[in-house]
Amino acid sequence: MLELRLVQGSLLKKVLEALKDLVNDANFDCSATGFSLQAMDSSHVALVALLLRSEGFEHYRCDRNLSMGMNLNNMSKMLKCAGNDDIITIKADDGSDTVTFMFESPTQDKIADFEMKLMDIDSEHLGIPEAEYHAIVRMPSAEFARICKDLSSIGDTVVISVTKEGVKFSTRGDIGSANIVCRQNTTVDKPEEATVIEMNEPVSLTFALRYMNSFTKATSLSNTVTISLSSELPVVVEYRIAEMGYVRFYLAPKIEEDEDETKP
Amino acid sequence: MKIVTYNVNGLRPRISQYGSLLKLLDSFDADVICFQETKLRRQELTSDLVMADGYESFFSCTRTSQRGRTGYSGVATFCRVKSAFSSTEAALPVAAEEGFTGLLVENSGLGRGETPVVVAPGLEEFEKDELLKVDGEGRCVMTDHSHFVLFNLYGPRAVCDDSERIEFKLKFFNILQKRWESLLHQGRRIIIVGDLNIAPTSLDLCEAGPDFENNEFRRWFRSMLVGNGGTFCDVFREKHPERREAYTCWPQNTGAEEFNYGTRIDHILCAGSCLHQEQGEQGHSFVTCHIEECDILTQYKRWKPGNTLRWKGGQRLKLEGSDHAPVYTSLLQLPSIPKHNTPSLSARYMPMVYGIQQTLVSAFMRRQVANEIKSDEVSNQFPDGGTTIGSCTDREKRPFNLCDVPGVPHGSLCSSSSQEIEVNISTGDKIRGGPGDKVSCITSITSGSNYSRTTSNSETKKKAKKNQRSQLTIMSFFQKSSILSNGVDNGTDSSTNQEDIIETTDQSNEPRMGDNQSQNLSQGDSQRYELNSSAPAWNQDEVNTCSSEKNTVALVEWQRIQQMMQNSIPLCKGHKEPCVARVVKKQGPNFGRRFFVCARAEGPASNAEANCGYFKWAASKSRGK
Repeated sequence: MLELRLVQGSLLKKVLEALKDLVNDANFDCSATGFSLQAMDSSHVALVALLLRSEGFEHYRCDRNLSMGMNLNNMSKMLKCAGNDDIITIKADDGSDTVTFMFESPTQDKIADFEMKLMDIDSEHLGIPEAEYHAIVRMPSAEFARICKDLSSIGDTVVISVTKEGVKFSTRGDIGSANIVCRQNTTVDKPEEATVIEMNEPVSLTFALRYMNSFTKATSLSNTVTISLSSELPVVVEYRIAEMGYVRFYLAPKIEEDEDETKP
Repeated sequence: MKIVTYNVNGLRPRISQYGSLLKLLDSFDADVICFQETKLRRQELTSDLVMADGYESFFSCTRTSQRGRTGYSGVATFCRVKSAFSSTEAALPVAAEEGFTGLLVENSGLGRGETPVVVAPGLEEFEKDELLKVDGEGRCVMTDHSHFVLFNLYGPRAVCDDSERIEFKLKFFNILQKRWESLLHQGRRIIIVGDLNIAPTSLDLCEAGPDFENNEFRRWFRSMLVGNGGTFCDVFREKHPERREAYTCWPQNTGAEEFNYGTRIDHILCAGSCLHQEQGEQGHSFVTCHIEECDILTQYKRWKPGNTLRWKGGQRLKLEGSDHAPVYTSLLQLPSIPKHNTPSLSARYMPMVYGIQQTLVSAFMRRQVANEIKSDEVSNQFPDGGTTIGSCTDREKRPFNLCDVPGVPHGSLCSSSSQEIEVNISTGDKIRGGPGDKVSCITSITSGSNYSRTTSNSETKKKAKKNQRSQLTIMSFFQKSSILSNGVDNGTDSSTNQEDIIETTDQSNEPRMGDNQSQNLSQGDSQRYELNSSAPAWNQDEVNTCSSEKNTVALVEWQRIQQMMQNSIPLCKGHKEPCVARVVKKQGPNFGRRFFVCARAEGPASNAEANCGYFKWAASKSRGK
């Protein structure tokens, strides 16, 4: 028996909007600690991890660990039927073929039940290790989304370089090239507008903008985005979900031939 | 006289590929050029798309507003002429007609109101609605070149399970055939060129199945040919009766060009007698007397044999060009014809070219000759050449001004990159000079290649390499970085609590070791040391090892994850290469399901290098069924 009641139902809607373009179908894993997902994109290049901790739910009941395979497009279709202020409850019985999404309007005068068929999905859980990164950049998520969008109109890849001066996003394409530099900035009125750079070592890595752009679909989940870079590890693009958890995207860098030149 | 037919798969992209319409047309060096699939709607026709110096053009655009039928078809005939007026050239048609039913005249420019709309001879038996329907998709332009009538055709495509389109296609060719018969009955010669979407025999398709030739359209096509009691000659087969693997179209989405896995659906057909006196005699016909050569212009294929890039599930490669190749034929011994002027269907009389927006320059020029032009416009008659020629040339000039001045995006937009216009704000200086804590987002877009330090030549090479590199080289990335990590481990060798990790790594990388250690010391430690300011100096190493141990674990773990991610992509049977993932787009029970297929380009089954046909569902399916 599973029953998860999320007062801020719009969060789940946003999560699905963030994932459905990248991931076709995935297993949602429910345990006593929380509601989580780990999935690859169809080309098995990028990895996404979602966690919604049990504390974030108004009511969280999960009698035993349960894995539910869902087609994210279909799930998104159903969640689109929920109003932004609705309370969403996810319900499933052990061994059931379906999951039920219940939408309650804030005034409790409308209750909708949507039942969705589950899928059998073979997927292995990958234990994603904690790591220390050479550089961690926290910046406004909208700014990051804008940068990725702008650069993708010029080129296919973005080089993210972190130095003491700031973080530089650059690209090159047939029509020319572009550089965007964001400097560290902590004296702002609102903390979420800050750009904070923690750097142990300068790094410069190249990524496919196609994936970066699909990561920024999660922008509405959080005002800030954290980008963790290490020359040896996949980049982590993290959007925190207020008080509840996170969506993390992992992407391995592309290798530049002239790597030695661009590296410190 | 040379006639070329080419399914351009969008006139706009082909124009930008060649830089301008004129360059595209000149590349054929032909007298009559017939394009199909212009993908232009009438309201989109602008002078840069329809007018080229030295060519007269005749367009037919789709008129239907039916869903999915707008803006993909459209045909255009370009005739290379020295003069559009009082000309004796056979390339300049004496008459032109949009469509083949005669019913589209009412909308074509100057013909309006002057002549009552009449159904073309031979088609009286059909309903008007029916005729308008088959003629409404911009699939035919007829030009009468006096010696012959030229049909520029784009035959409907119908997949075998789409009964509505099959019926449409059937009706289309049925009505068309009536028109041909009627013209032949009048003693006219006919040349049909275009993409008919019919491959007549099994010679014309790579790996035709046993039932291939039984298809009703293929049977119909063959029944029209002289050898089968019909009146038409397939000019290409006439010249090359046995040639195999001569294809004109390769499916776009499967990379079929790489292995020449194509079809021959672009044809040149002709019917009628020759122009000779003794035409009744044996061995004389239009084909034998006037057709010199006919062949496929394979140099227009997108995929060239020299292409080193492999088609990998369509992910790596964007080939420029049409999915079709042009076909040409050259005609012999066609004498000049009496003086005539360009027909009123000519694009030069289109309101969007001739009448609406004008540039300042053309407006001034126009004022001077306004009266003359006006009289021309109304009557479209040139009673004597002498007085009107002046106004004609003015008129000819105007459209080109029109397209030059506003700088309509040609290919030149892209090619201007070599100018290296510097819009670049010198980033470095700005940053250092700027106030300390303000966010400064400096965006600089530099045009041209000044971003790179290499010459443009080597840059393009590099770019090609970059394209070749797929994202999956992630594994080589990890191999590379494992060397790095070895270095880190070796560097921390002195501490004793590292055995198991060190054991897993080999010690082969001595020179790197030093580098990394010094790097760690110089950059990493100073900051870490600050954090642990209480720790004595000898603790540095330990702090360093702790974090690097963690990172090594992470690294090994990530390598495992990446390995798993990659291994979870199935390998195809034929080549043991990773497949590409696709999603079912067709409505039905499997809609939205993911599957894997061989990433290679499609080709004949006999070719082991080509797509091996491997298919595997991604491991997910609906429960409870």
